[in-house]
Amino acid sequence: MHELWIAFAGGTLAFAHCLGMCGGFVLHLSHSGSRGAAFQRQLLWHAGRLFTYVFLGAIAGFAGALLTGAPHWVWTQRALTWTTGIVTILAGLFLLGALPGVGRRASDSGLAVLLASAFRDLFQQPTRSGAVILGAATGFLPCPIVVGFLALAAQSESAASGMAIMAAMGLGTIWALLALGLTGRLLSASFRRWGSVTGGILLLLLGTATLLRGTDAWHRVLGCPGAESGCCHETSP
Amino acid sequence: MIRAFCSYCGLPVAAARKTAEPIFCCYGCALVSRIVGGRDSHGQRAWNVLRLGIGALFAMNVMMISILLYTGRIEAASIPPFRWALLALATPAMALLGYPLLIGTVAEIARRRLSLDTLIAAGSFTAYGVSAANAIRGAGYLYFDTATMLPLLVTFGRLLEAAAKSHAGDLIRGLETLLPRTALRAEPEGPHEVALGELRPGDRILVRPGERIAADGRVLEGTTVIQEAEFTGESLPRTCGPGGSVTAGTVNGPGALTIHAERTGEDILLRRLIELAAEARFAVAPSERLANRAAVIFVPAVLTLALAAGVAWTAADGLARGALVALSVMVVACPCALVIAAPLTTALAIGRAARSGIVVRGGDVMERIGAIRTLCFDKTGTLTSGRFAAVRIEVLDQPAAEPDRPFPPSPPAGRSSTLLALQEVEIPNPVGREGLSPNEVRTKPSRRPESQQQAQEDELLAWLAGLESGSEHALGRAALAAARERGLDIGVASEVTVHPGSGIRGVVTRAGVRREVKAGTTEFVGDLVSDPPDSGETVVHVAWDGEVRGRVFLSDTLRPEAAAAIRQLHDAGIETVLLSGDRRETAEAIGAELGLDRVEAPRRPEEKIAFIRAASAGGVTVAMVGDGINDAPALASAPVGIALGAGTDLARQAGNVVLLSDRLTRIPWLVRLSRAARRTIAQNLLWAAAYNAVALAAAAAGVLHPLLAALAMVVSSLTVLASSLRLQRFEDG
Repeated sequence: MHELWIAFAGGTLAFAHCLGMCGGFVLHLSHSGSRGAAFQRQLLWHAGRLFTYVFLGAIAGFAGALLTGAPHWVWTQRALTWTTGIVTILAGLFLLGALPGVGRRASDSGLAVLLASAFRDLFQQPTRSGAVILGAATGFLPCPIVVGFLALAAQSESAASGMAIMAAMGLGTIWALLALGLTGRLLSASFRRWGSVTGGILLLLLGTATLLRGTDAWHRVLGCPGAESGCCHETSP
Repeated sequence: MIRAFCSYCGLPVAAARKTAEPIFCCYGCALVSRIVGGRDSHGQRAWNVLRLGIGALFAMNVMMISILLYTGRIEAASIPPFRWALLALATPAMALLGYPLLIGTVAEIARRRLSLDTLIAAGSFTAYGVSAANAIRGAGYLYFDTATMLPLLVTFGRLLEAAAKSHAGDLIRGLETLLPRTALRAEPEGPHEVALGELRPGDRILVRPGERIAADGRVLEGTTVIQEAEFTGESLPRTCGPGGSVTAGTVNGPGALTIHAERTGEDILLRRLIELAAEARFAVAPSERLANRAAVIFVPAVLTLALAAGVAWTAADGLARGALVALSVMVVACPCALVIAAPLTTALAIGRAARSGIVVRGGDVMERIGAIRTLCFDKTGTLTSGRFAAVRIEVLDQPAAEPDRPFPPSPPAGRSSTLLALQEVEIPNPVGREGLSPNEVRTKPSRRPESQQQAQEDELLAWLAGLESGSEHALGRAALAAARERGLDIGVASEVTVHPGSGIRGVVTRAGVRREVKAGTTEFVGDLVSDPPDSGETVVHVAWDGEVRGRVFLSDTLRPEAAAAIRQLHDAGIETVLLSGDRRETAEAIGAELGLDRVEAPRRPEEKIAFIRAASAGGVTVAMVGDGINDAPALASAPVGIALGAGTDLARQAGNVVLLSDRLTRIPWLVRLSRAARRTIAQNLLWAAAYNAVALAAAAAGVLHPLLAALAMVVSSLTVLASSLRLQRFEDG
């Protein structure tokens, strides 16, 4: 259960990144039509986005379960823990701006160009159904927060938990974007910078905790919190 | 065979005959065109993309429910409703996603062809049919997730491929956006805004500050600064006044202009550039030929493998397993990396070059540029600007004028004893500077007062300039420019006769004095003077009233970027050769100044061709850089002929590479671009080979579920296409 709260908090605290990455979509959807219609489109866009997160969560959780399903596959379990931890830490570092040049390279990459030209048509007219599809497509954008929590979803080793974690994260990201759509204004730069730092630190802590959870040190200090999910396999004598 | 363009992505295709039907370069474009509609109707396209999106949402739901069923978290009692839900969701998904594939399959079968996508579509529909039957009868496996996600992923993959190819076309077609939509035509009743298509040669067009120019022509009134960066790649703005030429698509600076249109509509340089770049893509590059050859055996090989694996797994584990393995094999195969990546990369490189004002006439040429090992330069007009400047003046002292000066040693037999002494004035820095300024004149030690010497020089230059005022010769223009810079009265010339290759003679009236003046080679002015020592400069002797009065040394100025270009070429490991028709001394001086590896001079045009042929004999790729009109034969004989500074004369240029600007550093830049393209192609082909080998083996071994196979295929396509598309961002250098 605590994982859901972490995911929700992560999504919420990552608002600065959400505003930067997805703010453009929201503003695009809130441009035309009446205020009510614009709000409706935004909600539908969020619904599409959440749907994709839940879908990805299911796949990640299922994949995690598959990878660690066989009892003798201890190494895949360990690899999954390590990958999750490292990916989450990298996502956190990305938010903190500690990975130089990644952002610029990403927007310059052929991939960005390719996806932009493939989905250009969805942007033309923001209809209601278009908003859902655009939201669903947005959900697939490689964003550090999504990637970080997908790693957590994979580590939950269950499709249902993965879906719940991603849904919680998605719900957490909604408030800032809704506020942006309603006011049509971005928050002040300093506030956004502060938000980016808190989101980054949270992911760093989460990643570090994930890495430590598989170690003896964690067990000695905090006991065995994940006994039922089988985290103690490798540390048992 | 006729040349046509793909109706979706705009890449060239060879068609058997002209037809009103849309032509597609590949199955992917045909499929995507069916899904998202043609290029013309945006509303229709948006609706079609929407349809794809809705289908995707259904398929994703099917996937999620299937996953929940797989995990066994759902109680046995609740499973039947979930199975019905899957059927209910999968049916619209198949209708939306599978329909275009089904139509494509029918079309392919009608044409008696078989593509991998057709077989994948057949596999998906079979999976759906079996699952639907099982759902209805309430027993047996369901493959709804595979049935719906496969068409989605395959379509998504094809959509990306088509988008990438279409993007390559847009890169060139996008140059059209440099043209304004309308132009302000000066008409008797006042300025009138007309569409670009209505402009005709001879029209007078008003161009307001900041506007884009609508036609190729000449400035009639106004002075401005023209920004040509987006067009010729020339980053520095160009000052342009009355008589100056302007090109459609460039941006007018702060001044208002009236221009006389010389070329309009389809004839303008920009359209010609677009046309040439588009045509270039018909010339198939070697890597593309290699990829096409591989593709011919690729599909049958994959089919054979799929069949063999299917049969083997059916024998081992039943029909369902056999069918899934065969499907996996067909799905995971990624011909995209093989067939699309190479032509896409070449097309992008050609488009990228066109955006910097370089026409590369063919994918084969684009690939060859990166292989250049020896680059030959012409001198005049290529390494040098072709604009001469006076650098030094020698006044021959006359005994009457200089009685105080001692006689020099006796001149050689046959020389006139009137040639007594040389008073030499040198203009510093003969190379790399244009013109000479009185302030820069440095006088060699002399017993004559400086002012007197200056006056003698001025007189010599003024008479020469007066004579040359009626001449169009480059040397004459240089003398005239030097005289104007010194503010000299050059007088008026009459009865001028030009003797090509020798000199010019005529009568000049200046400050009330009328003199018969001759200027030219030693022989032409009279065999009176000794030849000057070889200094690497061009010499014009000046004589009047039957006596030689002095000589003017002229030098061509080096292009400012020549040294940097040569250095960059050397850094790229390319040998540089100066292949000049000029005197050896002149060529060697330039060769030494720029640090060229070799100097071949003097070389007549036919000797230049022989040199290029000999140099390329061992399979070495040799390029020749020159002026596309005067050096046409040499350019045509080289594997890569680069015509420099084509300006508006694009159509007349020889050479399979034409640079609009005369910036020499564009050449090393082009080499770097071509090398980047070659590297990308090689990497993509390597990736294609490695990916297909591993993925096909894994699929045939039965360790790859069809959905994972589809995902791998999409990721592989994305990798290849994204790495190719990086090329369009190749930085200006």
